[in-house]
Amino acid sequence: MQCLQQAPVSDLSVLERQRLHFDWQQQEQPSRHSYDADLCVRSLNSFTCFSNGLPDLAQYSMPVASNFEEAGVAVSNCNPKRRRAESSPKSKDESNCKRGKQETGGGGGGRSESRQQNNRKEASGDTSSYKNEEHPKADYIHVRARRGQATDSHSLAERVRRERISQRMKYLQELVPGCSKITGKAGMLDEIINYVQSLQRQVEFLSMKLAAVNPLAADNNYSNCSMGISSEPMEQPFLHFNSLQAHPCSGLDMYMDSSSDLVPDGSSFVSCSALNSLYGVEFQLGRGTAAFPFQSFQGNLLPNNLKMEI
Amino acid sequence: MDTDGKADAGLLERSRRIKTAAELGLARSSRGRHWSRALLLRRRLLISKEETTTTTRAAVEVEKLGVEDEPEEKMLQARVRTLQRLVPGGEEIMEAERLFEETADYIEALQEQVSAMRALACLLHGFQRTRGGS
Repeated sequence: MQCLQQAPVSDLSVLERQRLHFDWQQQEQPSRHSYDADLCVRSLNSFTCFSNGLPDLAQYSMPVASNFEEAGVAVSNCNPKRRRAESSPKSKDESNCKRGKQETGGGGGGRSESRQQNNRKEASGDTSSYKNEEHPKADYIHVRARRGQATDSHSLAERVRRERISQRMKYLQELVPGCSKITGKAGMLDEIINYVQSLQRQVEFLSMKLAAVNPLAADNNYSNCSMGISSEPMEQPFLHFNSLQAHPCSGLDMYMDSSSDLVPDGSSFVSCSALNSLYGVEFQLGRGTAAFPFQSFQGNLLPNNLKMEI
Repeated sequence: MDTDGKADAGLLERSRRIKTAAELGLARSSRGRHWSRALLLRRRLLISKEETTTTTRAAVEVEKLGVEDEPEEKMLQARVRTLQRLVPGGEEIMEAERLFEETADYIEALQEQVSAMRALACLLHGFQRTRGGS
């Protein structure tokens, strides 16, 4: 699109979105723009996610769809005639561009209205404007207006912000299992919250389970599970007690503060030894003796254990 | 050793909790994420996990309150606030975009943590069984 070269940044993003919404199979790539295709595709996906969502979402999914006010004010910079020469799917862009320029030419009449009002109207006028580009809507705020730098920057920033938020939501949707079929921000947020809570509960439960498992095993000889270096601390927690009291869980560098709270307590050495033992076991496991997903911890556990064993 | 046994139970449970939180922060602090730093700070202050329970209550209250105008906005805000409280350090994050970033990273970290601990529990359980049965 020739107009891409001349349209401002915000126009391009909007234009890209509209183009994608119409011809997204063609996967048109924005030529030279900071909003790359990835953003466009993602924003398109966010369309499918949220387009039937709440109105406040619709306003960012189709932000300028209602700005097609194509109406007849000729604009100077955007070369609307050149846009008109293009195919009908691009007519949106034409109208958008024209719209933006109309602001430029027409003064800031309707611009002072609230964004939300504009958004709602945009949302309501979405479908209509999509079909009919000759649809005058004089009471809309044209966020892509070129004049009025302040409003523009706010609108542009707002739009960029919303796009980013939609990207993040999309990523979260992929992360949370079973979220792909949920449309709507509120439902997805609920799912995310539930998932985070369930994960935290799982961590707690597993920590309890490990706590239950470990002391029982500590009575026995731990030489099996601790294959090598850290076997001593696990086999002899009481012997380790002295060193632990001297250096309150020194291996746990940043957690020394919390561990040191345990050390003054008389029976804390057991917990410290349990801590050590668990770290020892994890360290051994992380060394690849078992096919556990500890690789991510390896790098972090190694220095700790080295410190502990000193 | 009876008293030690009883103390052991409670302390061990607590030690595990602390340990897991420590591992979590340890694993993630190397990436320098905001929530990992906040988790470490929280551990240092020994703030317990009561925040998670209070958040849901607060969220429900907020939802009940705001029904007049833009109920969806209010509900969204309530949920965002709940999420803020769930993610460590989330209350300091003002923008939704940053919050979702941290949430995604935190979820990934939690998933790894859960899988690691599950594997560890499985392994230890297996060891315990072999040794305890003998």
